[in-house]
Amino acid sequence: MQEKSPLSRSCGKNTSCAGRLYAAWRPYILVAPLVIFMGLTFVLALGSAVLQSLGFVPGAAANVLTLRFYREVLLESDFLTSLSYTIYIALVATLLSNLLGVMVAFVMLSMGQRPKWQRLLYQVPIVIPHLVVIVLVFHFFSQTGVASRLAYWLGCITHPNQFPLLVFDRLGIGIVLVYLYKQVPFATMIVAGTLENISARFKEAAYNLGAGRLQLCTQILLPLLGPTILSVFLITFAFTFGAFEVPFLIGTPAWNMLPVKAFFYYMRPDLTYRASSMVINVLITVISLGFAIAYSHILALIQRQTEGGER
Amino acid sequence: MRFPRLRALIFYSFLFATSAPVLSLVVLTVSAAWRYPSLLPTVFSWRYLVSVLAQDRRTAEALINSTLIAALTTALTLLLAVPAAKALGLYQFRGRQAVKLLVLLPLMVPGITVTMGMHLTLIHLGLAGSIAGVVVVHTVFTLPYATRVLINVFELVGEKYEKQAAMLGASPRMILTGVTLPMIMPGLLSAAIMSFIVSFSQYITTFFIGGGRILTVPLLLVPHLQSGEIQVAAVYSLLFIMSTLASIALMEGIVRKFYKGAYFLQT
Repeated sequence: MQEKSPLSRSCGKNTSCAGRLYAAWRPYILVAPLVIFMGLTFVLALGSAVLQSLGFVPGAAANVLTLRFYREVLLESDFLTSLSYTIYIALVATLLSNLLGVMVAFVMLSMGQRPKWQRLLYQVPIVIPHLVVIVLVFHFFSQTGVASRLAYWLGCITHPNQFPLLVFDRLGIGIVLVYLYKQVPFATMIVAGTLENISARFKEAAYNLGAGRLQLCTQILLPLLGPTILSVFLITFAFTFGAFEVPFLIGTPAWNMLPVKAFFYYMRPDLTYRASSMVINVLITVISLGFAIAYSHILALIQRQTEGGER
Repeated sequence: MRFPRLRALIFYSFLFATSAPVLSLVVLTVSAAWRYPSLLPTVFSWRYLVSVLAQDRRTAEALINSTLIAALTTALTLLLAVPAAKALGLYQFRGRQAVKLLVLLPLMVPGITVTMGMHLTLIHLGLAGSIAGVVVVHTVFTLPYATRVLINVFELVGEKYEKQAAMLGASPRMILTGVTLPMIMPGLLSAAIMSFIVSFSQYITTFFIGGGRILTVPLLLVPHLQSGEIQVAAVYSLLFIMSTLASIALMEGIVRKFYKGAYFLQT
């Protein structure tokens, strides 16, 4: 905080001017390698995507900047289908995993300090990659999977064909199951961390002032938990919205989520399709970034509110 | 406390749901035949384990590539992230928020967009189809995690100990190895582990930038998943989990050995 404008201060007796100059430039020297790297990779990649979406595809026939591909993609009949399907999957997966995650976090806190092995055990899915989770969902929920066998033994079905289609299905249940396995523990971990913190600070005070358990939950814990839940929601939504591998491997062939659609366009031998692919890429990036911006605004708003309340 | 049984039921079924599937993976790898209504494999054998781990030479190649790429990615990530996180965590300077945003953005922008966007650049640079190219792309996706953790650590540790050491006449190098590194070591370790796991799990980035020439464990796994050979996919999954765990244990072991007396902050 004190080093806000180090250059404006005159050089003192104890520190040399060179030293002061170095102190002023030090943060920039420290971040320079990272910024240069990100500029040459990430920023350049986004720039290249935008350029290609405007028709500037190296190697393709015509290289004129045009909005033609945006019009073509947006007017295509199955673009809207893909967009709504993508939003639907991302919304269902995110809402369910947040709901369950918050619930488990509350249950866990109410059961007191859990032993370390239990806290480690429930976090296992966070480090297991999506690919392995897809293997697990196949194993459990395909028509000849474990769930189907259990249904057989319980007498619900007599033949694997009678088991509902839960992978490669149009409702995207397989995709959602993969995300739930990964994201519920993630939401639980983050929410439980904040919850423990808040609860330690306010529980005694609230009880002393005569609050009931329900009041503690609804008046204190949930409002203070708001920013955390919101941030988990937006992070998981943005991820699910733009993720490729899960819908590519376990989704229905009937409808493609937008990232999968972009991939298929890109892989076509005709290079002009790369422009269409990049149009979709730019659109999903804009939507994801919209969520990121909304997230930071809401977060700032809530922070200001709580700070005002504390004063 | 109301409904203690219900709450215990919820919590323990949650624990069961997170851990039991992983154990079932082990059963899957040793099942040679698993006829339909049977709940347990009908024939147990090592066949899939042996054919994948011992007889298929691509397995060793993929494992070596995966580990090498993940190790290089981790090294590059820490090299870029540690100084930047120090500046972002300790100093106020113009453009700080912009840099913070820039490094966190790859978490918000779809991975496939970044990968496809980088494809052409890397082809022009001659890095497509090489380990170096794959490492560069993986690093874009590991940097946000590593930097975020390290910023928190630097904010927590502050600069006062370094300043004190300097006041007492320590050289910059002594400060680095004797003060800074031991103090940020827990954060450094979790940043390294996260980078390693994120790199190890990459599929589509390696597929795209490796151009089919760089074989990693996920690239071996996926075709078997697509063709429904779930036992083979399970063997690769298990190999995947085991090698990740082994690498984490190794990293932790090295850190513990060299920083035995270090003051470990709770992070």
